[in-house]
Amino acid sequence: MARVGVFVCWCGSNIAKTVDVVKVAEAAGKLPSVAYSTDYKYMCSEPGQNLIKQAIEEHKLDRIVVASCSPRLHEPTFRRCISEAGLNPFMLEMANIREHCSWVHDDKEVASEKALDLIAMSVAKAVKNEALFSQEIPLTKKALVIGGGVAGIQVALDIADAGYKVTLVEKTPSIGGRMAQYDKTFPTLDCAACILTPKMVDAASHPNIEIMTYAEVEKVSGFVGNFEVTIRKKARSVDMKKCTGCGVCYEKCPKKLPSEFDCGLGQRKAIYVPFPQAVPNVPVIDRENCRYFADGGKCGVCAKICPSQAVDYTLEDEMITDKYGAIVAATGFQPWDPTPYTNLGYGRYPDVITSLQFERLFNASGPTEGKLVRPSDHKPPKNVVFISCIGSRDDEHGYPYCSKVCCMYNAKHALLLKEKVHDAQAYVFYMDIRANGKGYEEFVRRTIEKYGAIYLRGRVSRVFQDGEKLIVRGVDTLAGKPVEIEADMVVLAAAMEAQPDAKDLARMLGISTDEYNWFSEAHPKLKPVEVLTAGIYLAGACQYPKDIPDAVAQASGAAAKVVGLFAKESLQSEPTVAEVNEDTCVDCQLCKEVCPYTAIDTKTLTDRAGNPIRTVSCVNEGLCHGCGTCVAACRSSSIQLRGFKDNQILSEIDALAFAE
Amino acid sequence: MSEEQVITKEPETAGAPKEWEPKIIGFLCNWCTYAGADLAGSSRLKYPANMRVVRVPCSGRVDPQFVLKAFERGFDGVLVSGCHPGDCHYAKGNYYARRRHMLLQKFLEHMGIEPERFHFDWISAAEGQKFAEVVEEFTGQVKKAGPFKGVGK
Amino acid sequence: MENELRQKAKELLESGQVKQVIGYEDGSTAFKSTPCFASSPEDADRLVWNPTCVNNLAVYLPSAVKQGKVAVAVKPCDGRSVVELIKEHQINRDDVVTMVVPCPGVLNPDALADIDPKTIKNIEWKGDGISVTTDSGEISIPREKAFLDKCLSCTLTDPAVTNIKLGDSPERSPLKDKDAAIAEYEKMSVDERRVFWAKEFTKCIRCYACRQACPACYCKECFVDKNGQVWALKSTDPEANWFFHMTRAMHLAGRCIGCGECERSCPMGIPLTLIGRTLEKDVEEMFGSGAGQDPDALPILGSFDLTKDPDPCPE
Repeated sequence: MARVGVFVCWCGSNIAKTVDVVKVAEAAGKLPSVAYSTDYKYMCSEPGQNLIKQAIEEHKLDRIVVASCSPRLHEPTFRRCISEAGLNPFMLEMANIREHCSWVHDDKEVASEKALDLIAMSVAKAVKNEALFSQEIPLTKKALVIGGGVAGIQVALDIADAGYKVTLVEKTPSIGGRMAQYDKTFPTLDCAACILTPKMVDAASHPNIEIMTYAEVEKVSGFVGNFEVTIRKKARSVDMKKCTGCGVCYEKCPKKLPSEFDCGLGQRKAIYVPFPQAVPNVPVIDRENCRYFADGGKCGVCAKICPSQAVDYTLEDEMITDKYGAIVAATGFQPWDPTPYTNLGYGRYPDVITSLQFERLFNASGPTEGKLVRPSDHKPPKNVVFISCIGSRDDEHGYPYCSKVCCMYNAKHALLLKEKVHDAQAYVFYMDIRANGKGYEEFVRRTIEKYGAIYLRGRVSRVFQDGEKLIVRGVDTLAGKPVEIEADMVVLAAAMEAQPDAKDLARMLGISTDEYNWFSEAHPKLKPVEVLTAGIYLAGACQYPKDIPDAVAQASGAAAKVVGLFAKESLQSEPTVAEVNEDTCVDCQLCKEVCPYTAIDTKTLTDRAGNPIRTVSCVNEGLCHGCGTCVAACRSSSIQLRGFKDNQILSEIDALAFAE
Repeated sequence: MSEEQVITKEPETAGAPKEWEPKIIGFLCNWCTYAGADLAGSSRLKYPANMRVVRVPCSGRVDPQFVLKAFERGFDGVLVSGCHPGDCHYAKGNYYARRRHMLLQKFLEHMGIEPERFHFDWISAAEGQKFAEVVEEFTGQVKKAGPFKGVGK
Repeated sequence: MENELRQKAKELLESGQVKQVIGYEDGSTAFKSTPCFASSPEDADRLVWNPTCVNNLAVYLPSAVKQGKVAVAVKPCDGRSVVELIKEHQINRDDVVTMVVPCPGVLNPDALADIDPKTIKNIEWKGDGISVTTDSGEISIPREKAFLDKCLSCTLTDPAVTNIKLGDSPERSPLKDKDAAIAEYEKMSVDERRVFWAKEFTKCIRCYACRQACPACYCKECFVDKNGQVWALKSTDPEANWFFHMTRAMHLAGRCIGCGECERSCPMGIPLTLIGRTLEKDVEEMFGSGAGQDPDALPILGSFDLTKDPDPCPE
């Protein structure tokens, strides 16, 4: 038989003014299961708490109802209080007779009646309360960072500097990501390589960082503190330990291919490093295009010429499984392919290029060694037209969202054009100029005012070739008239879009994605680096288009989250999680379907000999957040939420239904 | 139970005519609507005292059976409220709640319970004002619908 | 057709492809067939297919598959139950072979009201309706009288889980609108409906025949059977009956394929299909899809549509 103690708080006059606390406490004493009831001026004060503790001992109370303010305010206080008196903290219920009663009603009789009802409901629930305990969850203090761009590198460095081990996994043969492709960065115009490559080297030489390039995450299981991850290290065909990075192999390789790093404007070999500052500086063989692999071992030039016998055609993909406590996704974006804009001639006219291609054209390590020339005839362009919002803010061809960085790199390109080719003229077609960052607006103004870039607010309707020139037809909506420009080159500011395999990785990690496959954060304002799965964080443009400072800031944020997690000795599970009644579960899996956290899985029950009997749902307490959506979904009430079980809530309903 | 109620609720039979007051139960999610109700309190907004609140973690926890149970027990009105779309503390619980309760409301009407007696709404932690308004409006609406005659006769 | 069914069943059993075949066999009277569980080729000779094969045999599948692979004779409507059972993980698609029988409609017992049941020798499909052979000769009953209401409005084609198609689908156009019955019901005012159901549920003796006959009611322990008074009183108070039927209806929302077995098995004549159909109509209108169509579809109340779902505060 439960022995409930009811403690009615006056909250000075806050409650006592509109609720007859003495009478209510008296009436509460007569409620079923109530063994003791009293009132006091300030329950949350030290004497108030002592009063509760004493009553627990004197009256052998096993459940406590405090009728006072909102549980959102003082539930932790009173839980601590009763646990100090030896009760399980979850034997507490609170009746909110201040925010929900005395403060919102005037009539004392009505408010007192309501207060008593609220107490009766809390008492009825408390009678059904059970002692709840949190479990200790072990914690592996090692982080996995997926994606070796600037965001991933920053995350890895920050975590490693805090003293924890990090594995940095990168799909391509080198870390560096998109930023390695850029020439200069807005708005300061420092050279991307000058600020990025030192970080790449730092990461490579950091004792706490293990870099796995040419590798992909294959499988993820487990939960916060205890992820088990399988990584596929693709066969590099070059022994990383033996290779000295001398580069003879790719000098001699006879097979030439368009370079991905140079956006198809330059060439690479079948054995290659993607760019000269690659980390690690160890080539890979592109087996699909290598003559040795195509012709059954006839070529073999690279292996013959390698002075350190590092080339090894027999290497195979390697699977590595390890445990991690936290995972950071920093997989970035890809530039959108503007082919759907058939009116702009991309893919048809060689001098209509994307902004990233343009970037490669004036990069000193690019295909032209930094000489800005037209791809068609290698002459420097005079008139260059930049077109904004290619695939951004355009539901019809691309995406409705703004890619956020294009306005700024358009301004940068327009400015740099003038620096490279002094008599050049830049034209920028734009919808709006979105330059909201530190020093951004000033940068755009400088491009216009000092570098004479002509900004035209309007869209381009058509680009076509006329002899050596590209005729750009558009409209200047501010002047209200059509514009025609004879251009030498047209540069399309293509949108940023999610990586093509973003959805697969999201599924593996249990991250939800939005309609464009960007990874969804746990809360758009207050949890921008977390995802709904505990222990998994986001950094950089895999979440949404970001520029470098934003990506790096978020990376440090994600790292701080990981470091905060790792600073704990072990993890405590929330006690108010769902539990399955295996006897009655029929495996319809509706609970699993509705769980926002993929915390529910199925398991096979076996007999003593280990033979399977049937399948039932099971809750991973490390993943469950205790929302109870599964409970409401279950038809046979076979899954229950501790602290909010069906019979607890039904008791509240009945207590109120039968209240006098 | 419901019989007693109807008798005591007859205004003519009471000596001093005391107006009939509807009995309303509300299921509020902890993170938005319950907090919105707290805000209404700390802002000292006034609203009718008919509704009693059951706190649940998420509107997704509100089993339609709780609503059915309340009508079985003769409550005159039931309110379910949680976080606005996109604001759910648990990301998606409110979307499942929305399906269940929008369907339930229609179904109840088909089965003989006036839609005025069941209200499903979004009220955020910042919407103390809205909370007070919704409760006031809903209480008025249920009052207008009159004492619920029950599901048994 | 019947021979084809037996032949197929025999093949499946002889080759060991299935452990048993669930179909229909003659019952103790000529106007009622009964479920048949054939586990040997000889058993298969007992299988029949005629207008009295009314039961939805999908109800047996969740327990039957535990013994091994099962073949089951399904009408296009019953096939929808198989889809739901697969969707809800109660059976594996690979564990069941559906033999879809061509169905012109099944017998409405009211059609035989004027015939002395003892004299009935045989019932078969003939023309548009059925032909009843009695001691005193043959009686033809036209379609509109012969078949169950659900058959008169049936437009179903082969279910999404058809393995073996027996015979040709009969050419038929619906005689009635699917929602004719509920259109009549919907004319009642809200309060009239409350009174209507209070009366109907007062009849309920809580025999749970509706639940037992329902292929979607496969829970190991029904909410109503939970120990203690967790959800519902087990007594037959009208209020408790109301709660039971209302909850059962909500549990079937988006899952009821409208086979009508609940109402057919109710000894008290409570019009339970009215509840199911009303709710399914709402589900279809609100969420755009219905039960029993796609085995890979997400459960209606286990999914949501961010933008299309009806909202309490539409923008």
